[in-house]
Amino acid sequence: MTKPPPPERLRPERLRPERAMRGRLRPGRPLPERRLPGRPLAALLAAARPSAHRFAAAALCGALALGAGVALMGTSGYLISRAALRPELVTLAMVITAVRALSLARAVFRYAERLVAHDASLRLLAALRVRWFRRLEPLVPAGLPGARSGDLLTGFVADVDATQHLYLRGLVPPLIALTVGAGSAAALAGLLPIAGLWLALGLLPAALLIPAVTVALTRATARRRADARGTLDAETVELVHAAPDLVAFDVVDGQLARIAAADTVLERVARRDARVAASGTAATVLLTSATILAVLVAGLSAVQQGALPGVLLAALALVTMAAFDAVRPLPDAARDLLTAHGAAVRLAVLTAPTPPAADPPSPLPAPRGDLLRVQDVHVRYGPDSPWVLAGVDLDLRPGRRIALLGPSGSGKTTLAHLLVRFRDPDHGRVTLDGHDLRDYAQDDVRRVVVLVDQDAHLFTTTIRANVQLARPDASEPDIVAALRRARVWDWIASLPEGLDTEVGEHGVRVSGGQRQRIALARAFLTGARILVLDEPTAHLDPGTAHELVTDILNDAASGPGILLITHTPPPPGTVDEIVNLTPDTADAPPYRDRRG
Amino acid sequence: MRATDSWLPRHVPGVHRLLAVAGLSAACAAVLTIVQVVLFAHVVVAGFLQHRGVRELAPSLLCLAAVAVARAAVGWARDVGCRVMANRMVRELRGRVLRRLVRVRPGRVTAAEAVTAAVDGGEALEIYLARFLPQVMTAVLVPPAILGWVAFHDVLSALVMLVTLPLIPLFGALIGRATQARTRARLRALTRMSGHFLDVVTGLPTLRAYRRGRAQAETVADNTERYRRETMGVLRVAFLSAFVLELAATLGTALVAVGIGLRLVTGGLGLDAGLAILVLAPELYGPLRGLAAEYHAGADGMAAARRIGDLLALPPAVPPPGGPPRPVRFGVVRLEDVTVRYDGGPPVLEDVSLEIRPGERTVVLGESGAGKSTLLAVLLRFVAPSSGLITVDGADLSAVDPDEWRRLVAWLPQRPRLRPGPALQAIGSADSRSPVAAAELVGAGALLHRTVGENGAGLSAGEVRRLALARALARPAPLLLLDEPTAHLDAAAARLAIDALRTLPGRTVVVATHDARLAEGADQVVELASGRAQRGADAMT
Repeated sequence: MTKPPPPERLRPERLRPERAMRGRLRPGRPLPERRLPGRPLAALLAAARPSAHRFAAAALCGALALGAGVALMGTSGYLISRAALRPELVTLAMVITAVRALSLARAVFRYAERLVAHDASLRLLAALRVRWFRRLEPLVPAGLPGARSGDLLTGFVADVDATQHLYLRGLVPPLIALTVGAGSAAALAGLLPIAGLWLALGLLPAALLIPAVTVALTRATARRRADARGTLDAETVELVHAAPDLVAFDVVDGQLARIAAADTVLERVARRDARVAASGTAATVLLTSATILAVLVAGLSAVQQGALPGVLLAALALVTMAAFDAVRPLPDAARDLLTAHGAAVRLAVLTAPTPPAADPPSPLPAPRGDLLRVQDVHVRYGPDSPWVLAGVDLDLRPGRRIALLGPSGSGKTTLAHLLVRFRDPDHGRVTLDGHDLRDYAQDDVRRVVVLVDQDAHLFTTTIRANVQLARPDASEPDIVAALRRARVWDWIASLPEGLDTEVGEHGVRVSGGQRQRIALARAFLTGARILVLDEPTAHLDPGTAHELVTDILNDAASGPGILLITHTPPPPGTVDEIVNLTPDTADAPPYRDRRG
Repeated sequence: MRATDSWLPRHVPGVHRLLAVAGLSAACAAVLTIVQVVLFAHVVVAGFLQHRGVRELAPSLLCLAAVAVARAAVGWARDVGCRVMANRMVRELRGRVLRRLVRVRPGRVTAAEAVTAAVDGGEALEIYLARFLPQVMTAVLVPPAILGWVAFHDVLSALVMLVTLPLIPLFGALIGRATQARTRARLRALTRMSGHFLDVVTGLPTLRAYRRGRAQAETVADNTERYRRETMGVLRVAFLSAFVLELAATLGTALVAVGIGLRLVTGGLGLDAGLAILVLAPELYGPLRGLAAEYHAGADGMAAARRIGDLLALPPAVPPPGGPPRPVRFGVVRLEDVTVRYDGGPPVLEDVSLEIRPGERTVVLGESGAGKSTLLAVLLRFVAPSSGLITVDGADLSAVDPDEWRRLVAWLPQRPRLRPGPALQAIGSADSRSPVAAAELVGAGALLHRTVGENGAGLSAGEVRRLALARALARPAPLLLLDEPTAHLDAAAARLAIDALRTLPGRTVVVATHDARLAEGADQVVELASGRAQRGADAMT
């Protein structure tokens, strides 16, 4: 196997592909149909109310631009028809000026529409982000479904950003189409009522029926496509991660066949979607031609009967032709509307649960953190689900080191969440200094009990800012001391920019070991009396993991109480107690192995 | 674009056919458009100047309808045909990329890179092939056809068109170049800002743990507001090129209309030709505007093609044997002065000489980073030595097909990856000997009814290791390469594994470990430090 580059070195500044992938955010996958909390689309529209005048202005500019285009064709048709009658040139001057003005107006208004619409959309984005962020915040991490919260959060960001398109691409084009379509039909009706009627009759199905049918047909396949895409992604990741195993055991072809199967599903869906989209376009073309024919027929008869001056016939047909420009973007608008709606629904569902923990009306004074006690705690994720934790007991005091062992899925992280009160137990209780955690303000609990995640998140900023996050008023010596305690200071001191070194996006420019140590320093800086470390070595190679665990545990004797959550037994003699959470499939009930 | 144009036909067979189909349909569309417009002008003029009625014009009206149907049909066939062809090409290309990925040095390409190139990139390329390329063909074929017809009837209008048409790409390019530097600097700032929300949201668990969650809402608002201001600065300039495009198209139409009007007054042109030219004017500028609208599809597609091309150009980890593959026979494996460097870096393994005799157990000891895993990778032929020689039964291993050789090798990786699904299936393959017996030998018998989740979820690291060890033992291969067989195992399980490895009749075993207990009773112990064999001692007892 390949060795990763030596860990004790700053990675060169190059884009890691993770970043490239994050850059291309993919919205969340379709959710199973279920009852929605409220009406997400209506709520989204309500959210846009403060920016309504901007979107109206954008729609107005767009309508003026498109209207100028329609008028340009009509006026030009009239101009050359009049010209064909060889009048005095002077009589054409007005029309010529109009033609030139309209051509300028179209371009200018179009530019204005784009600027105004994008500005409005971005203004709204700020409001939308804050709104959804406020709802999401109390739910993270324990109130989110499933274990893959990283994917969920990435999907959340993509969905929030997708909802802004609702207005820009989903609402403005129909508004423009409505204005211009109605205006064109009215103008025609002024010249020849029946022609106006034909145009209205032609525009209506093009504006409503074709987009609706197209969207309905694509929607049916959207879930299959999303599922196949998900499989394709997952199996490709599996192929790369498992490549050495696959090659060594000569089973590459099986994996490639699984990928090809997902690809086949995608191909079938793509074919269907292509047929639907192409049929929509073809239908619009046919409808346009049919309407022009109808208007021509009506116009020809009217000219013969003297109801319409022949000089207007060309204008009549050309306005009809140009008016259909207004409805052409509508199938795309409908699709974007649907996408935004899907995003809004996912966001509503994701943020619908009540937060798993709330502050009491009158919290107790902040605890000191002398004893964190877990008593007969039970947790499950639904009334009919199996217990994830069933009868766990634990005592943690400053200075004491406990290892919590168990395979993935055995509830270790859930227990960690209980200890910092990201959630409450369904049965049993967790107390701090003798009082239930529920009686304290959440932030007071987290002041004394600090959790370090298994995927310690480093923010895209400097090492200093990342550590200082834990205590904004910390002085430089405090920060250095914390980093020193996490045994990462020597390395940082050796960097040209020291504490002000940028860690790169999500900390990609530091190795996994350094990242965990910086996260650990962050926890040390809080001065918390109890640290809960959730699998700090999960992503490290055995040697680095061993060093890190030894450092953490050796340091603890006089320091904070440490609960080390791990699936690897710690080196002998480094902990005071081992608590083993065995999965319920094993024969033994959860047991405790006291070595203290 | 040029790089892609030469790359695509070479790597994506069928792209010529797609271009031919797109070109043919664009040509059809051009002809149909002209016919339609001429018929239209004829009907209008006949109604206006000759006062003809519907009945007299019925044949023309019917023709007009027929042409419309033909136009719709050609468009439909083009859209569907190109999409289906593009899909097939991308699928085939994706298969090739993935097959290549498996053969490059493990770790050279990350999973994220693979997904970005093969899945996301494939999708972008598909859009490029299905939408952008046909649009290019339309932009190349339709305007000249229209221009030709117009020139035939009215040279002056054609001249106006000829002057305004190139303005679109010309001004677009000029504005693009003038603003490029400024835009690029701003875009870099933008990229940074646009990542902020994602950074905050994915870091929310951490922020909450440090009581900084709620306070972030304001930061998000501030940052998004800054993002808006910066973006609008970029857009004001970026939309200018769209403005010029629009202006050239509408102004062109207006100039043509006015010119025709004047020439009609002076009698230099017939009304039906004039009307047709007027209607054709928007059709002239349309394809170029369509191309501009698909600009992003084009840019994304090219970027995707470049990424995929990079992956396809990666060399396989081990060069394929030059001559006809030689049959391989297992025997003494001899390493002579083997050195391994990755990408010209410092040696990971340096001048290692070693003899692995059939039926014996060799233990390679060393700290993490000493080169143990690389030694196994060389033996697995995942990596070719930068210098030195490996022979098997006297024959040069590099002349042997790597897949042939690996049939003789079973391996326990440092980080085993088990196929998700029932554990028994994960450790047994078509040619395994009884996986159950192997599992029981290493104390993993009780694990066989368990289910392996994604990346081993649901199993502890020790359980994954025991199953992977059983998987290696179940493979009927004479050479066993085991990387850290006791890592993550508790004392009892480790003991069981150590004992199981001591008695493997007929197997040649190489164990890489930092666990000295595995060296008990070994036929040969090699100590590695910084890629060098420190000591090759015979059996320690």
